[in-house]
Amino acid sequence: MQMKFLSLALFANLIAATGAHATLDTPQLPDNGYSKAVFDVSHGWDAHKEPAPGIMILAASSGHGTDHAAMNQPGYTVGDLVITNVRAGATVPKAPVAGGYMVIKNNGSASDFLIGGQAAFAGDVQIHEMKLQGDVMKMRELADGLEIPAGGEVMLQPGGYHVMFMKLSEPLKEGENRKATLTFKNAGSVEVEFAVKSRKDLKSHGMGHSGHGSSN
Amino acid sequence: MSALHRRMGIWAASAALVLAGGFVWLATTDAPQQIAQRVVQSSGIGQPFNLVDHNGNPITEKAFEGSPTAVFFGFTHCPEVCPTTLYEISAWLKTLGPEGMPIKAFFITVDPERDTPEIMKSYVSNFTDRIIGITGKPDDIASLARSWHVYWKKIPLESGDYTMDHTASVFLIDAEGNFKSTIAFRENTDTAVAKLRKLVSPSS
Ligand SMILES: [Cu+2]
Repeated sequence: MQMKFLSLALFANLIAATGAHATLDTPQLPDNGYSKAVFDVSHGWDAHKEPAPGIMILAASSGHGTDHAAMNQPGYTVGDLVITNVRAGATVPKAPVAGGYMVIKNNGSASDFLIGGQAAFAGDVQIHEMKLQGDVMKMRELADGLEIPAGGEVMLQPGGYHVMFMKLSEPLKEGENRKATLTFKNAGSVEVEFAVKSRKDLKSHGMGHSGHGSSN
Repeated sequence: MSALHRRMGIWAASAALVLAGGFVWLATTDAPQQIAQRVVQSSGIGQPFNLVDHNGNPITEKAFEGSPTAVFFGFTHCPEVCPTTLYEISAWLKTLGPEGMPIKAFFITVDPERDTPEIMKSYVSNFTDRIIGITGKPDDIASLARSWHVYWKKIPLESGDYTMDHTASVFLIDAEGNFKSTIAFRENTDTAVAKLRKLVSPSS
């Protein structure tokens, strides 16, 4: 009796399993994070408490993650800071904004902060953090700047921290090099050149040894 | 003895699993259609709207009917997500080739104050001619976004400027106007293309 019931259930389960692909067709409401984001309009995000995903603060000893792009380009030094892999995303004509990315290493014994910059091609240069929360993209201005901890390395990269070029006066074209000034709270200002790259090339940053990047 | 116990325990546990499976199956056996119905209703896709396309022409919910449709919400003052997504939608459609021709794609601004039809057109047309930009009165955009359960929020910047937080997924709607699924930001290209392919020919 019990056995029979069991085999019935087994049979039902088998059907359920074979029928499973049919239920894959079922439209799904976006997941929990989604509806939360929809209804909880007040939910804030403290950029200072939670770093954006993909941000790595590496110990100085592990800072040998150079790639070809970083090696082809000279690093810039200002005070105790070394800035490498300085690049910006190419824009379509009429795009009002662009993102700038780089790796900043602090060889000093005190924190410094990237607080802003200036560029001839942009009306305003700000330091931003971006992140995906559920399926909502959020971006915040870092009012106190981006901290570069003593002995640490911070990556500005797509999907995370970036230099935000606003009020662009002209498009940034792939292959160009664009001069801009970065300003740090303690180290002061430094002029750097942003290598303008396509969206695809931007992704392969100095995380691996090969530098061929994981294009996804 | 204890080995036997364990074996019995495992057997009992798997029997319980099997039973649970059966119950799940029973509970959901003819549900997919009802679930789909519920999703469509709750997502509000198909609700009437009156907006303006990037050529300055009126556009309504009818634009999302009759063809499989991909819809993305964003704004032109967007450094990464929106240009990346517009670029990717164009790439997906290119990959699909003739098979993807029936797909219509729309980019709806959540920043209608800055994104006029002219700005939308000059921005979107730099990516592809396959995507139509949509803007309109802020209230009309807001009610559409709300009915689709799209999150968007204006975030002031110190400079007096502002930016927008917004849902970053692409919504897929079938030719009958039913919401089918979403493509997440940074979703694997093959998966995205497969979802679009399925949207065009659901049976394949
Ligand atoms: Cu930004």
